[in-house]
Amino acid sequence: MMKTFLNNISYENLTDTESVILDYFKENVKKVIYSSLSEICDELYVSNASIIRFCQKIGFRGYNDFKFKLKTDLSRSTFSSDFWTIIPQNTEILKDFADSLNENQMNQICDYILTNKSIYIYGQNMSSFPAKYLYSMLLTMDIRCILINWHEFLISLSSTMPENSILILFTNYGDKKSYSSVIEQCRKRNIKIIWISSKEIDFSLVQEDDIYICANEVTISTNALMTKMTSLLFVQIIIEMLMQKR
Amino acid sequence: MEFSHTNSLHSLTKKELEILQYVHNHSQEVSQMSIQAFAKEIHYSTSTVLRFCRKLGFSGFPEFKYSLKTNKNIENTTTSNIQSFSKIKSSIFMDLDGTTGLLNTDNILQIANILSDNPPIYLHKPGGLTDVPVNYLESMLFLSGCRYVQKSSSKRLTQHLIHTAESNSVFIFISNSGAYSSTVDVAKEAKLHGMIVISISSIENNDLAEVSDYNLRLFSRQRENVGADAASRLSTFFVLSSLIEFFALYKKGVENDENLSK
Repeated sequence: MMKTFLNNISYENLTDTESVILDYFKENVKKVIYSSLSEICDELYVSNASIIRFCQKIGFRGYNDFKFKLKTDLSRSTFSSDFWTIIPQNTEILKDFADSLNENQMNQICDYILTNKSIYIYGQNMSSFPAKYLYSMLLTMDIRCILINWHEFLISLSSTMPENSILILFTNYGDKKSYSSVIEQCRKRNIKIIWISSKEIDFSLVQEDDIYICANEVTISTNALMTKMTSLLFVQIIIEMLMQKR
Repeated sequence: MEFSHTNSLHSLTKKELEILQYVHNHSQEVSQMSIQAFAKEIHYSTSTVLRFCRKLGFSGFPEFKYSLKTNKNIENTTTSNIQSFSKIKSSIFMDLDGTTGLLNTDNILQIANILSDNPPIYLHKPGGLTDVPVNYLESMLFLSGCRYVQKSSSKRLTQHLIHTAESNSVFIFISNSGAYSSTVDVAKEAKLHGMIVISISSIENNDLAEVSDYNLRLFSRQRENVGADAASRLSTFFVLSSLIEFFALYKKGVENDENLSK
């Protein structure tokens, strides 16, 4: 149970019904702040008027006034305040990322995609989503490409890709062990690699000719979840640019 | 169009959201229209239009139109490459900002509350581009601790699941337009069988939103390439990632509470 002003209310002057309401509010603080009056009535089997009377008795103009106070009370505790700021914050992160993109580099990527016959897109695990999204979008735009979302598959394809193909790699942090053999193969055949990584990757993997974009993914604080939103945004920008250039 | 008044988007009625989507899609035409012509075009009264403009923070229709025009002028001067790049970015963020304004935290919290009870969750894959966000949601749900997530990739399997699932299971449907008929059909069926229906769809009035218990809205523009759906799904991803983030926070909050009360 969360401590709010409700805990300071004394039961002395309350009727039985009102005590029930108070108990319910105390036990369900978080539910109450986003429930409507009628939802609470249904739950408690009391009338609208009883709840409004209760709210007035403890010093509010009505239920919404009460709810508002409860909300602001709760937002002082750290966890709830995150709730209301999280979405605008995420939008800001995305804007920063978009502003950090180098336009010439983006144009170059588009030119590669438009002029090259063999395009390979790779991503596994969470990175498979931006990869799949780019792949599906390119297909609907009549740009043929091949999707790889399996590491062994990438290793085997890397020795058969035609010369001068492009390989677009979505990766979390570019594990050196798993990529070095792939890259070695690609270099032999002069394959252009475009890296899109969530975190900074080992620079020994990236060659001068490669294009490298770090999406600076932010992890969700509670666990290692990554939303991949910045990588997805990158894909969207590329798609819009391609739509214009076509 | 700028959404400097995004906070007020919450308070828009269904009608008004419809007007907003119309303006969003036809900003150029609208900026040339009189209020009478515009009202006629969208089949609403002039007073509805006026109320709509006021809610968005404009003094009236002329000011609203003026803001459309100035935005358009910025767009018109962007012919060179450098400017078209920033134009692309600003058009993407117009959709994202609009979606941010529409995301109702109460609604998301209610959904987080439902998910935290660990109900059986069923996802419907309609085929096509929307499958990517559906798969994304599936992984994210598993990663954030949901135990019973099932995914169906055919209408008939989803119908079968609806008939065999215990009541109060959660069915989640995603449709960018909210009008894709096979998705709307199964959503209706799920609702009829007493399932909790959650949907993610466009701000336009749509059937999917109508039948859902909980609905998250987004801004989208329909786009096709010779029959193939090419509409951006970025807003859909954004809504889903926000939902998952809320859910993670919500669970953390609940755990904290439990620890405190011990």
